[in-house]
Amino acid sequence: MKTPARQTGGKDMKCRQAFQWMGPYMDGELSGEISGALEAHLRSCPRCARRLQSMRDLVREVSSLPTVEPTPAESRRIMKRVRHEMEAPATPRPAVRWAPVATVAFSILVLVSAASLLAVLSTGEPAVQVEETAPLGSAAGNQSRALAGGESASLDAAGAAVVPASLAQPVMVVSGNEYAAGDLADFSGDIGTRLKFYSAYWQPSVAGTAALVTRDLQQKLVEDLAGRAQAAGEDAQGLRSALEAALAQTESKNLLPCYAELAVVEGRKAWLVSLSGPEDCLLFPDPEIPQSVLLASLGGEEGLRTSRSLLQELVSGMPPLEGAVPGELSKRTALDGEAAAGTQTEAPQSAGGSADSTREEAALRAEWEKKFQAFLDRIAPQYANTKIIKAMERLNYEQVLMFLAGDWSGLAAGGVNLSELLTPPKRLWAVDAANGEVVWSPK
Amino acid sequence: MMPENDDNLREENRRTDEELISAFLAGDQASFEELAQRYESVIMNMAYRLLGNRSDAADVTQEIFILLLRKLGSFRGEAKFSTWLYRVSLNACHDYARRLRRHVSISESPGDDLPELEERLADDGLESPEQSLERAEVQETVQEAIGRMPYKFREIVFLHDISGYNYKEVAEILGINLGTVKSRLNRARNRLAKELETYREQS
Repeated sequence: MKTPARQTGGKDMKCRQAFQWMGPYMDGELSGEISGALEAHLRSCPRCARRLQSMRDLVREVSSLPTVEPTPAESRRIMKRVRHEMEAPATPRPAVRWAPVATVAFSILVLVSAASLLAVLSTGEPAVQVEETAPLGSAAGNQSRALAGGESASLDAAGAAVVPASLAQPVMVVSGNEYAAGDLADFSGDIGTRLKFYSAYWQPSVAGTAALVTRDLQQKLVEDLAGRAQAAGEDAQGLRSALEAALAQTESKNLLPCYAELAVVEGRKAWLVSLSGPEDCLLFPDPEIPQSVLLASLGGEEGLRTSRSLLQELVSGMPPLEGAVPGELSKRTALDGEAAAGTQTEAPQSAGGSADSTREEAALRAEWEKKFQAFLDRIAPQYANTKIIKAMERLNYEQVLMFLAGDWSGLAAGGVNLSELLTPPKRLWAVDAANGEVVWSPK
Repeated sequence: MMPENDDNLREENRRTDEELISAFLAGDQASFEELAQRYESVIMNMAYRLLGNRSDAADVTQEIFILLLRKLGSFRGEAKFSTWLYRVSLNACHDYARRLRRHVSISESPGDDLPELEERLADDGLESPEQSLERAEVQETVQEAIGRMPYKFREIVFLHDISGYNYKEVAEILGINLGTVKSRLNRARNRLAKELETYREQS
């Protein structure tokens, strides 16, 4: 409904202006002078007087709505859940264990890695080689001192020092389990070991060092696993070949053999071997691991496949970020149905400029949220990974923007569980134990 | 209903919100329980008024406390705790409302899970049964009308007209300017007032 801007006496006040002042007037937030003018208008304009009365009536009803309290049963349930949450063992929080000395170096790495992550997301190619990342190297130097206790330890020496015998031993199992190739995509026997490896080798506080000694570590771990196979009376050389076959198939050199299982795949005796990489942090159901995502960027495209395809699809279905031209938006006055119907929506004049920009922002926000929901509706049936769709549904407007921009740190800081949005790559191979042929690989 | 205000409600031995938070962050879980109990009704009422449904309100109240457990470490004490809490809770309710909207049709009939009107009437001896019934119907009408508004209107009505925050405080909680508070609240009330008028004309 549109109120004509007519003169109705009461000095020169228009009904439209009177309406804007009614709320502050009722709430005692209007200056005396303006209140006097409004009162004069109300005396001469029965329509506005009725309107004010009806607003007062409404506010009285709203403010007398009864307080809804939890019932004792609801309260018990809430508190029980709270206690359960407090008593749950804390999930690993790498940030807490951060060595302060490495923080500055890593914060530079953060910038570098964020850029490389974006590059990975947009081109599909890793943009920065680990070995070339200078800040990582300096973090490693500091860290290796801390671990090795020596000054300026050589990298090899640091490598030797950084593999504590008590941590993250690789696992070798002779299971004889029979797997069909189709089962292997969901194989999870290696997950526990990968998590341990993440904590021991890839977590930010040690990542720098580990990254630089990967090749050395790879060989040590291959030999370790082969030794375990031999001790179990199995063919050590066969396992060694299987591990090398798997390593040869990976683009990244930044991987560590962590798990081997002697099983039967598609009727053939085969070694299942699993490699751990920095993106294994994504296996943690922990929303507070922003650094992990930066490490994920070091893992290259494989680590982010799912999210990248989602991102590409999302970008194609949404207007470009730069498309938010304020001029275009300001042409629209409607924010919702009510505004579209012509009700006065002006903010008081004193706040006109910022109110305009607020409205533009709100219009943009509403439009994006709508598009985003439509996007989710459209892709949901096509995606087997319902976890990702559900996680995306929970993103608010700002988070959608962060998602589009690849701002994983921002998302993590906002409490978004990144492990739901990003999927760690499967790094499992099945290699024929007799002839070294790769029976199954992740691709 | 006014939110608990630690200035006027504080008793001699009552610890402030901030003291409870410090104790919790130092490892005392009981302090968080005390804080949760302190705000349980406020949040439940907020969630009910914003979502219009009792079981959703209880669910989101629980979610909000879990969220607080995780977020308390990032409470910097720049704003009053209650301001921060309202902000976090309103956002959580908004997220929840959007999830509801996607999975079920949201609040088609707010209050569906409440007992029948007649059973809800308090017999306080001050009103006739007819008056009580009428009051309950008006309240139901108002609650339903609130539930039909965009979320930003619901939250501003909740903060100002139900919780009793003034314009400045509302602006601070929602992170919007005073002009927007005034115009948004006016529009929301105008919309509700029209619905209430229509209801009164019809009944």
